[in-house]
Amino acid sequence: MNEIAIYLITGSVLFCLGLWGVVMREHLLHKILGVNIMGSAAFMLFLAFAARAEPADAVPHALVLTGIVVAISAMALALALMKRVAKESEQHQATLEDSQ
Amino acid sequence: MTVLLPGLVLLPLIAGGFAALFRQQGRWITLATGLGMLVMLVLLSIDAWGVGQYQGLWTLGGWERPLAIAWYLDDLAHLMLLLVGLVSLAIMAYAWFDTETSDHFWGLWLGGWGAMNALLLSSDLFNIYVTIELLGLVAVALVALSTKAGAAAAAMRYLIISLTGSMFFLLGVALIYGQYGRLDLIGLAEVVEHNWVTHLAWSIMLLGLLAKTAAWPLHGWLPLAHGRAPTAASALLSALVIKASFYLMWRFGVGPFAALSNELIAMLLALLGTMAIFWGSWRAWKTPLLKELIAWSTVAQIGYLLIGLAILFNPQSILTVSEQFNPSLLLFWLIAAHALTKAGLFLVAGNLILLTHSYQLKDQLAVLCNSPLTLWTLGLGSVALAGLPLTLGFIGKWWLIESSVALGQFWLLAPLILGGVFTLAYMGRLLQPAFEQRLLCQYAPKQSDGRPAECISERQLAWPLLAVPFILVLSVWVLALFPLYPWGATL
Repeated sequence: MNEIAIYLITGSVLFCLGLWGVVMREHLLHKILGVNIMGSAAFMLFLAFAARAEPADAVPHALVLTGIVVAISAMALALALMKRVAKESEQHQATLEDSQ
Repeated sequence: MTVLLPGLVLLPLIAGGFAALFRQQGRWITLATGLGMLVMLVLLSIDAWGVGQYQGLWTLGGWERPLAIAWYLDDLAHLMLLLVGLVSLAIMAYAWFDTETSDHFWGLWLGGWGAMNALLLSSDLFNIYVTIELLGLVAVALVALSTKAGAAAAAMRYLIISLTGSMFFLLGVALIYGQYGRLDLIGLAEVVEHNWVTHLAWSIMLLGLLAKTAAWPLHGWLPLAHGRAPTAASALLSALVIKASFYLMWRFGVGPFAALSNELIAMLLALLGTMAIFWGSWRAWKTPLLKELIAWSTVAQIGYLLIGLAILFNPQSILTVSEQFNPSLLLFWLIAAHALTKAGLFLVAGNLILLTHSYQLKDQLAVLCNSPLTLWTLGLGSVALAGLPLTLGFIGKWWLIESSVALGQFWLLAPLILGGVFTLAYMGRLLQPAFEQRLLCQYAPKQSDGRPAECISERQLAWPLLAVPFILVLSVWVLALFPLYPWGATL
């Protein structure tokens, strides 16, 4: 159980870290990476919960695989949008300062 | 019925893929799909006619719960399917005639429609996460279709909030799975207990969904995204997409997590709703831009929905179904009224911008003073949005007022009643000068070609562009005559 507790705590810390990145960092790439870290944290919790059973529960593995596919598509859209924001902004910076 | 439910999800998803691949034929694929969806929605409703307690559970691939992904159809899901279908069809009909509609629009919203239907039917937390993420990505892409300055930044802001909200939701799902080892809503309702992990998971999910619904104070992205999106996209986003996450809060709050509701959470939601009404109305009153005014009014109207949610979540509320009358479904009519009115108003705003090529509120007078149908649509829409008697919104708002009095929450009467007054005030910014100017236009000296000076006529537009918003807004008045669910089922 102790090993699982380590993963659970790491997952929670990672989630908060990712959220900090989304809220506090200005550059859009940092924000996008922050969202990804939050996602990884949630996946880590899923897998830690799966490891509690003997043999390991298969359902969370399937869920995490699906989640990774969703995360990749979201990431692709986010990066494409970020490039467009940088191109359209006056100083060619990928930040959100210009919107009101 | 077993064929219709997957059809309602798969047809638009597959057609959306094809429409994205063959962009030139996108609108024809959409036409065929739209007709197919209309037929399926009608068949589904005929199937349900007279069945009474109409509820169905459908498991994908025939697996047993809890392993299977279950789809669940009840009155609320059925009504939402109809609302999404009809509003989508109306907006697509408008987009067909709008010369500025991008080729990408068709495939995107077909996919979004499929995702929305899947979300409405899903009865499994992880499946719901996938559908809400898919819908969120479609919504962001719809905003990014606009070539307007700042549209990319608005879409980016929307994407970050939407993804963060989804991650909160996913974390909640993970915690629920860790606690109970199952994710199907029906099964969860039987096993959910009072403990801090479950409370934490539900609060996190609620927070994520509130951000996606643009509840005050997490609303900052909405006026930018909805104000800068292309016309048809603004209408879809304001009318339907934000309702998806609201629907989930409703579903979860009265379903699996009903046991966790307490007066504190109801009070918090009521406070958020009150602030949303005041702040949204104030900003709508101050903004110089046409579409931002309508977008801020969406923020204010979400306040009503949140107060409705607060009443659903309050354990003291009397929500028992008696004589086939389900009081909580009155909240659906508030959603429907807002969806139909707001779609109509955004489409009218699109018309005005097409004619004047200006986003400023003050420049729209040149059209309004010479366009009776546009003016009527705006007028009927404003009154419907304010929820005056004889409109559909009144039924929902009356229920809110009645319930808050029954609960002894008399302070809620202030936002509920003032909200309607505010709506008339900020919509009046558009209407009142138009009525004044209209007189000037009629008596102004005519130009050499015989037309009144400085007045742009709505007749330059194709007639469907005028008819679709008028029908949408008018339906709010007509539906108010028949607010009873005609299936004879629980209302």
